[in-house]
Amino acid sequence: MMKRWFGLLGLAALMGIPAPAWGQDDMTFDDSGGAGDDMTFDDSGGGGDDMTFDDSGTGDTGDTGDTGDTGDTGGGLAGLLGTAPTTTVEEPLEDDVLDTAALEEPEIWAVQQSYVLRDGRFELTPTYGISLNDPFVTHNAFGVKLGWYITEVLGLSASFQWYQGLDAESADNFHIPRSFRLVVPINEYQLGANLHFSYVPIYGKLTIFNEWIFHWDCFIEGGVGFLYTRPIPVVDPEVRTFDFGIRVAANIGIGARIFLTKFVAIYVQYLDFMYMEKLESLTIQPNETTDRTSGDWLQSRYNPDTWLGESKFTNDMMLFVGASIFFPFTFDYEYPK
Amino acid sequence: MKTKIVLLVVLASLGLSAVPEAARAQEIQLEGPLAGAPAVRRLVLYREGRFFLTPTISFTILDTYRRHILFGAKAEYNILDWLSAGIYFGGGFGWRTGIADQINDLGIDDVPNQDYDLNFPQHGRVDNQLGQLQWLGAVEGRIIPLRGKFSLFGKLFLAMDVYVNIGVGIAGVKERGVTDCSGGATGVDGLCPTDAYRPMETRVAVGPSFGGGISVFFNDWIGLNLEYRSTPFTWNQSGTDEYGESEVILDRRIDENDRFLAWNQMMTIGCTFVFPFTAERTE
Repeated sequence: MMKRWFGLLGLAALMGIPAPAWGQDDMTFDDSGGAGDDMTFDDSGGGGDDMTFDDSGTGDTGDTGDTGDTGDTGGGLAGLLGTAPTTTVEEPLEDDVLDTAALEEPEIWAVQQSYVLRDGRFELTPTYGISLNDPFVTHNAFGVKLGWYITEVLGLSASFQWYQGLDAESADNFHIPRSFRLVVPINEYQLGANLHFSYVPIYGKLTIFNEWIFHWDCFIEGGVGFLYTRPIPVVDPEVRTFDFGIRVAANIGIGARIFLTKFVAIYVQYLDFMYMEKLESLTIQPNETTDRTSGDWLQSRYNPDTWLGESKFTNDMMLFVGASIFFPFTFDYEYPK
Repeated sequence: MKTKIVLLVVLASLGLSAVPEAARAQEIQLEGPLAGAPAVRRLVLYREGRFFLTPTISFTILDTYRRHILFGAKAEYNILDWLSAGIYFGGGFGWRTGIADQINDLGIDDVPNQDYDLNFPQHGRVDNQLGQLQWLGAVEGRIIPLRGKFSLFGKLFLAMDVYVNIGVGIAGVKERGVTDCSGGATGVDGLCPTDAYRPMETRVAVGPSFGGGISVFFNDWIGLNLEYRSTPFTWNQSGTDEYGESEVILDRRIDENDRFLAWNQMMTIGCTFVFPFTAERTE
């Protein structure tokens, strides 16, 4: 009788010994395997056949090879009864998990592989611009810019801006003449077209609250083009009208791009257009004749040749914002990361 | 019978113990060794718990009549690496813009039979009525959302951050005082000045102060600071009568109704010294 008891207890004890849970050599993540042998990553639980990866248990599946751990899984009664272990095993699962803390700290370069490559790509940039330095008239412009990068840091581009209808005269244009009897000649723009040469000396990256990383660059730019401008008649508006004319303008500026993706960036640029502006004459000629054959015509108020005054070197400082789109959208790195 | 029951209980309990417990998932890093890692390791905490002292030079921009240069300093304590509080103070002087120069070259005394106008000064005397910014101070909080680094010409690598600040600004302005010429050349109560008497008054203007900037760090304790600041408040920069019954019908009286809102924008450059000299690093 005692022998039977000891035998039963021994049997029970054996049943309690967790069978080793085997690491899987053939870990598959597809549906092709047999019913019992697959490692599944679902929440179905079940018996000892499937290894589940949920948070409900207390045992560590990574310790499946340690038979003494009560929380271990995958064996138990099934193993004792000789059922083939469903998750067969050569190595502990732990070996499949990379412990990054144990790795040698890799060398991190200040700026590793550039997030965006520019070499050989085109850049299309719709822009909105506003003048910064004219207290009498604010010049607004919608524009577009198309660029092509010769190298990673050197590029050529052409831009076009449309101004007409977007100018806004400031309150100073009213107050100063009234208070100080000072008439300041002002001009309006119709359009501008320019060629630019770009150089990108600064490239960097920023984190937002140490969570998200984005990349940016800073470029300087210079070139030449023209503005199509004319005076707004303020000295003798009853008589004078002006046609638009071409003013050759050099441009120089600095800008930055903040890359949202590898082909879309927020674009900000300060650009100074330098040119000789033709201003309205502050003098009204004394004669009133409209007869072009008259000897008084040269000093006639109606003679268009008397309407323009001095040419003045002008800085038109513009701030542009826009969105850059690079294409082709994708690119290949020459070297692996 | 009792033995059988005991046996069944024992077997049942052992059988229950054999039911596999649900396994706890491991963090399997399927995306490589950096998966789950922080955005930046060993981040240099240039700011957190440190004190910034920045001598500054500020230039006002987009002025109509007078530009100013202010010499001053910022003092700032960084509560966190992304949050700080501080003060700014600067004082200086101004000079005429091109438009003011043109006005100065004119004069009411150039007009035949006139030698006085409430708004239009005599030749060369516009400085007697143009508003001046004498000093500017601000108490402000600062948020530093962007931290990073950049390469210059692919050679020089520097750390930087970008911040925005908002607070309250106070300014000492000198502007034309109350001048009443509504009653004629001498004005009611005799307040309308003669040419030699264009009273200027000093007052303190208060307004919000906001802006943003970039700090570039050369090492743990010294950096370069570039900042934009706007402190909008109303003042009479031209020293003229601009409002009466309306903006068109004037009252020949210069007072607070003739003040206009100005953004009072400025650019500041400074050299930042950081205390203590050594910055901590994150893990």
